[in-house]
Amino acid sequence: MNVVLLCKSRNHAKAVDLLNACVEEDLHVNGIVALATPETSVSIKEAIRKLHERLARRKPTAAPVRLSSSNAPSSLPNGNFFSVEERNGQTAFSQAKPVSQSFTLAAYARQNKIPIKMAGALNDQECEHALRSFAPAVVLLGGVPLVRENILAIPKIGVLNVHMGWLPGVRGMNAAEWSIFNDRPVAVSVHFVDAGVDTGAILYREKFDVSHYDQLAEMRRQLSAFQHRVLARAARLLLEQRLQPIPQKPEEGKQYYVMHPRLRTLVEMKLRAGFHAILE
Amino acid sequence: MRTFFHRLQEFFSARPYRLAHFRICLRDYFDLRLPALSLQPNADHLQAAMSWLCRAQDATPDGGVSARYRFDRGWAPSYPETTGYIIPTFFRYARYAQKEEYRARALRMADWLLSLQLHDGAFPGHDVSAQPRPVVFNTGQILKGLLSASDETHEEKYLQAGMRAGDWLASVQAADGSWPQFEYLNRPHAYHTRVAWALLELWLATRREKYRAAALKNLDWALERQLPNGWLRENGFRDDDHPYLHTIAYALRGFVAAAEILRQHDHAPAHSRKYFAAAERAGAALMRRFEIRRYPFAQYDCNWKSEERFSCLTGNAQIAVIWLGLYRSNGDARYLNAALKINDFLKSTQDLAARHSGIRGGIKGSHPIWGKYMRYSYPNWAAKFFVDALMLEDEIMSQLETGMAAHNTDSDRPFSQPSGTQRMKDFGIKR
Repeated sequence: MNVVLLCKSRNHAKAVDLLNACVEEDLHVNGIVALATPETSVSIKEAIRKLHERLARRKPTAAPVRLSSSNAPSSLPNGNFFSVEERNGQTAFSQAKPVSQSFTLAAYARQNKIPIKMAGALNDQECEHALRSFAPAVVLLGGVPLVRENILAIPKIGVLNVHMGWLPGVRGMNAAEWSIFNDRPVAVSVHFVDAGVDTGAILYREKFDVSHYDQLAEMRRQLSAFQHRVLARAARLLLEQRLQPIPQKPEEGKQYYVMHPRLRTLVEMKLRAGFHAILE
Repeated sequence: MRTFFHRLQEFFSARPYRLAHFRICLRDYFDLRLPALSLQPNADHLQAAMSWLCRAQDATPDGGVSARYRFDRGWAPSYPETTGYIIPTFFRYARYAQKEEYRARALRMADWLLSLQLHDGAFPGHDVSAQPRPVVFNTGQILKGLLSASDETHEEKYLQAGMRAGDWLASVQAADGSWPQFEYLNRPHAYHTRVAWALLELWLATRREKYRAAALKNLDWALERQLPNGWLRENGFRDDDHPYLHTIAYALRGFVAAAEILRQHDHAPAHSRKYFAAAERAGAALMRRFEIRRYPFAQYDCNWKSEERFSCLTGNAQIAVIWLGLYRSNGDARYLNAALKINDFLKSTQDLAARHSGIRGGIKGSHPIWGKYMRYSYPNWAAKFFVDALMLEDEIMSQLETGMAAHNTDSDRPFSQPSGTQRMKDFGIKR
């Protein structure tokens, strides 16, 4: 049974991460449909507005970054790049992306002999044809927005998405942050995609231990990698017919939206204070 | 074609050639709201808006607050209705900033309002004129101001005037609870819930049952105007099919405030629950629209759709207050989140650096300024609701932040739940 990944070519790091997770979980991906970033024409008015915003965001220039001889990219034992910056006399190590993620998705697919098809925009005919050509049983979503009926009807079994929250309780955006804000466990849920937002039948859920993190950004990075592994695992278990979907009721959960920075600060404070302790 | 010429005429009469006006028009045309530059700490925005309100009061000789600064005519005469509900804002800000000056200003406003009361207890609508006409809504809003002056000073004159106003309101109410007479275009409006709110406050101050009865009758009448999706019929100034967010928020504020008063002081919790539920239905629908479209539109039809492409800033500030109130009552942080965002939107439209005294710190009627609501002007009620919204935001956020900071220093204590959790239980709402 064919498994196809539907992702944005622009989000190649995320897609490659998911493909790596599939390899780890022994799930063979038979094809990739990558969506190109659509070209949009920008009006003069919009361009001026954006330029103005950019100028406003420009911070007052501090001392320029001095590039030293040790600043050339070096490699770490784990294959990652790192670079050393000297800023205002202080040395800082910044870890670059892993080697595998610095490839484009197309290069990765070529190297691993996974057929890849490019499509214009999500839900359009080109995308539909590209997906149909793989005759998929399951489509895995890799960070694409709302999928319409025409795409949902293509796979034999269904379209799977992974969500950074415990469904059905926490739907929508910034689910991990909202879970912490509302004193709920951080978790990921794999579910079938339907016409709603995170409302499809739930396949698999797993909690994520946040006790090691005191910074939100780092927690999200690890959670992102974790959710890809969970998605791959759930897809494999589904194909092995070892999972039973549980339908959701709309009234069981709430849909959340992008969290305001002031609330994110509170979440960060909560994380630092050891939020996990009260859940135990 | 006629509309086009009318718009053009309005544009030129707004004197766009004046540098201060031109600057605003240019900024709004390119939507140059600069979050990075314009979002200052709330205290700065509050101070600027309050200074604008003080200038509006000083622009008229009578102690009332000028209705608005208009591009074409400058400062308008004092406006009794909004001066009425600006009074409690000044008292609150006096406590917030710990400045006695604002309290004294509020009392000057209240004394001016006393001088306007008609022999039957009503207050005149619209601007002060030689032939004042009593208006229900305006009387209700002035009643709020008088009651807050009475609370603050314990002077009998304010409460006496308030009771006369309340008696008049009860006497002109129709049997079904509406106020079809002595009103704008002589027809009832759902946003009269704000009058009911004032009457409930009068009931609290006097414990006279007739005020409570009149308030509940009107609230029930307004409740009957609500569709299952939360939208309210008969809730526009003129256009009942596309009411402004301003009047929608008026109606919801009445429901939320009434629910809160009845929850605390009444022995019939069913009333409180149904009014709160009414506000929540509409508040949730508006929050969803705002979060999905990421823009607060000015008018909404019965499906909560908007065809207009401008924002009613007054309504935005009012809806922020309602969302914050809903958060306090039910602990649902999505309301708090939406309120923080809409307050940021408002802050980004406030000009803190303008030299012009009518513009600096004021809040426009519409964004962009040529939007249909209060075109080319800065109404005093926009600044008032903006101040209310920011003060409430600060109060809630400081409670949350203090609770969190206390926990950070004392890891044995459980986290403080959102302040509304207990109240939510009181309302019988499951989380």
